[in-house]
Amino acid sequence: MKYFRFRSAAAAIAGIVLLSGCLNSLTPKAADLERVQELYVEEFTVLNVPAAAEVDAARAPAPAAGGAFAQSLRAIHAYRAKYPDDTPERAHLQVLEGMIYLQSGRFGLAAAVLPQVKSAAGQLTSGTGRVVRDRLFAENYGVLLDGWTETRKENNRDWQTFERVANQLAQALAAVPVHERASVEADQGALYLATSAAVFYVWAYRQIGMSEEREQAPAKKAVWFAQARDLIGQYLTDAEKRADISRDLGADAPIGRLRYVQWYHWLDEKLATP
Amino acid sequence: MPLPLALPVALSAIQSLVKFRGRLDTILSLNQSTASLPFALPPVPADDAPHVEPMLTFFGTAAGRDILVIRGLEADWEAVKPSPFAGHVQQSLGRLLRAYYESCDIRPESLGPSEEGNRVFVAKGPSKEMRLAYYIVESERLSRNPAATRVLLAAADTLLEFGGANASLFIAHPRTRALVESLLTEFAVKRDWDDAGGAQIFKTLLGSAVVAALEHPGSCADRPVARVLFAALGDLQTSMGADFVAKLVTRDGFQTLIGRCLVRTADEPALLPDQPVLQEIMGAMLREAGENLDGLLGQPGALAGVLECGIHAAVTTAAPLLDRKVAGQPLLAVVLKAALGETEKAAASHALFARIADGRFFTALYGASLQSVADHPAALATQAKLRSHVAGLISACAGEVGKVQLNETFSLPTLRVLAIRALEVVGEQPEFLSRHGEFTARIMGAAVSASAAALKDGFTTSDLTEITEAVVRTASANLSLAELDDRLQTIVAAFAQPLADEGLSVVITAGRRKELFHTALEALSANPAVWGEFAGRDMVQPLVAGVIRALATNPGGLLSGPALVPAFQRIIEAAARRGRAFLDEKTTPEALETVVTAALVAAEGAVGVSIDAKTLPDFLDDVVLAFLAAPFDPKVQQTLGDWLQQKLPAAA
Repeated sequence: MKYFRFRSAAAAIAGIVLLSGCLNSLTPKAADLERVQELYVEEFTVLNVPAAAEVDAARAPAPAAGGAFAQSLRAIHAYRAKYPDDTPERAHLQVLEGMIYLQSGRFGLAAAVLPQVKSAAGQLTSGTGRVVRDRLFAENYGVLLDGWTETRKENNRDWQTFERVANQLAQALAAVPVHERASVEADQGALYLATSAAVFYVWAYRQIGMSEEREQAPAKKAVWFAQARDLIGQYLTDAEKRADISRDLGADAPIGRLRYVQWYHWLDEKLATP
Repeated sequence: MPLPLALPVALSAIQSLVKFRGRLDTILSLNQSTASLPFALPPVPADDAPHVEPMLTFFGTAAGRDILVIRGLEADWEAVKPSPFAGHVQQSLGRLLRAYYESCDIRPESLGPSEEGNRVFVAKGPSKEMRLAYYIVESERLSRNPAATRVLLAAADTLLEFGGANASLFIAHPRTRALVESLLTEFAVKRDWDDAGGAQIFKTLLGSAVVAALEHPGSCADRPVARVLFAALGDLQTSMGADFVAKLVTRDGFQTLIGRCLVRTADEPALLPDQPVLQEIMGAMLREAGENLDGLLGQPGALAGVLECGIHAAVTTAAPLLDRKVAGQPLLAVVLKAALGETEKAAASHALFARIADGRFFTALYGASLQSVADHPAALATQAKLRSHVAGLISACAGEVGKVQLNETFSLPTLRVLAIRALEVVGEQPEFLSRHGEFTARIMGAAVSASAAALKDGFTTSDLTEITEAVVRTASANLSLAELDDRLQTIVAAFAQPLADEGLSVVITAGRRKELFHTALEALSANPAVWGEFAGRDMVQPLVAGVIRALATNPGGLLSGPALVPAFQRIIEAAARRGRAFLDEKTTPEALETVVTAALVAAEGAVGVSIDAKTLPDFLDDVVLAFLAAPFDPKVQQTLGDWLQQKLPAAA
């Protein structure tokens, strides 16, 4: 047969050995995007994921410094240069870049890319009609930036800013029509934002306790913690909400949702004890 | 969700994707942009509020003030003291609190789930991927249709990976297109594509099928057995799970199996029309194999070997095996299980057997077991009887192998090759195998011993295999040799002597010495009873050795040509024909040796008169028969000389 006539057998077998190399040349855009994400995951792991032996909290990872995610950022910029068209992939990477700046404490750069991140939301509409992770991040990036920035302020850290940020996130999530909400098993963007809002509510409580209005702290705690708990609870299953958090849930709960479940139960516990 | 597209549409879509690679790249990259990625939550604050007042009190003390001085925090203290909760002094307040915590060994509570507890928990993850999973935020797809897209993408992606530039042609060809269709049917139409394990198995099988097809250009059958294999794997995935099947399809040698199944057609008469039966059998054998991948079947070549052996036996045996069952299970699978169990048991008792029992050896053993069982109705009555039958064969083989002496020339790999060949040849005689399991093992032992003897003098492994085969074919074609029991090995070992005889090696080549061995086997077949009696009296070795020594004198180079082999044959056949002379002790092998030696000398004298390469064997035959008919003492040289002169043929 003619299609067997040349050494395609040898080429195919060589392709097995040079698996990724073959794939790169056949679908370069996908391969380049995957490479960016791999770099991001590698650099995230170095900064945030403890090795099996590192259980000493005193050696918990320090806030990311200026050099954090350097390779990821370079790869993102290289991808943009190589594929200049406006596409969902570029929008995704724009959001990723913004989240890198937030997580590494580079709020100046985060503010600089704010317009691009927000406009990326328009490219991140899912064909399923549901609002996906990156679009939620893009639409709420400004609010997230305000919240993260406030956590790192040296002076004049304001509880009202935290309260505003948390409320805005909660309202944004509530504004998503029910039929447009992605299943939480498939997409945890809303759950992530809900928990971020909860963290900001907790910051608000912390800050009011250190302010001139500190006598309001107990009352505010009851309101904010309940709001935070209930916000997270919208995206958890009944079983997760009922779980006995004192036991190790690792074997039962999906690992990726565990931190949200922990936040829910911590807030619930704090509400139960005055 | 299973594949929601019709198969022809799916196949065309795959072909289109492959053809228009750019489009595939776009689809893949869109898919990639919603990959799961890790994101950290905002940092968690410490609960400092309860510690502000105590801190202020502490630094109001003398000790506290000393600490302020030592740490250079006096300016901060002066800033904070008037209004500790003002916004503009929060940085100073923070520094004072930290100094206070360190001085008083206080750890403020975290306002959130315990950071330390989290780190301990996350660090418990067995792998980096598991630990990273704690931070993953998944995303739903941006594309519209998930399952169909993923199937098509996976298929096109895989075809491009392995098929390279010819991927679209691969799927255009009817035969290979049918392969992809069968894989799609088994692993995308019938199965749930939301299961990532199933998707991975599909991609692995498709990749293997593509490579296998490219390795057999033009040989793919119209209705390859591979389609049945895929169907069987699909059934196995349903019953045993994706992980079980994944272990099978990623095993070394599975691709070889696919290759063999591609060229092997399901159109063979013995396989039609009962394809569901073949699928059931394959499924049962694969299940058995999957549960033994850590043992013998995990060795290279074993998996493909036993499956192919089973199918081959199923279609080539006189008694059809394909639809035979024992206790409701396919015979091929039941025998496989029994053979595995008995082989492991035998290996535990016989060290040398354990060492040679690799994948290839087990395949040969399995094939022999299958043939043995198939032709033995009693063995098929129950599983217990079947297992007992197989156990008898295997333990006998193990016992025979255990008697072999390894040395620097006769190595383990050589023994393995010979033992495998012996089993394969004896497997061609199923009727013999089914009734003479232990004798089969003795044949194997005899064949291997004969080959071991030959190793001393430069025979190749292929020569040894030929020798082994000759022994096995001779013995298994002559059921009366079964009566010889252990004497067979003694006889065969004596016949193997010419193979290594130093005296003969200067007379004739290795090939001619092999011929001597074959003729000796023929002589054995012609008169097994007498040779058996010779063996019982320990006469075989001295008899054969004596004849060899006599021939090795080779006076005048008479035997350097083609005369040696027929001469040897005629002498030992005659010795057996008149063997009663030895058994009744009227003469001895040593006497025969003297006579033959003298006969050759006499023959040398008659060269050019009446003896040549053609008449020499007749002369020697006459001499031996005449001597054994009326034995005398050959040491009386004059008598012998005169007697031989009378035996010489008349001048031409």
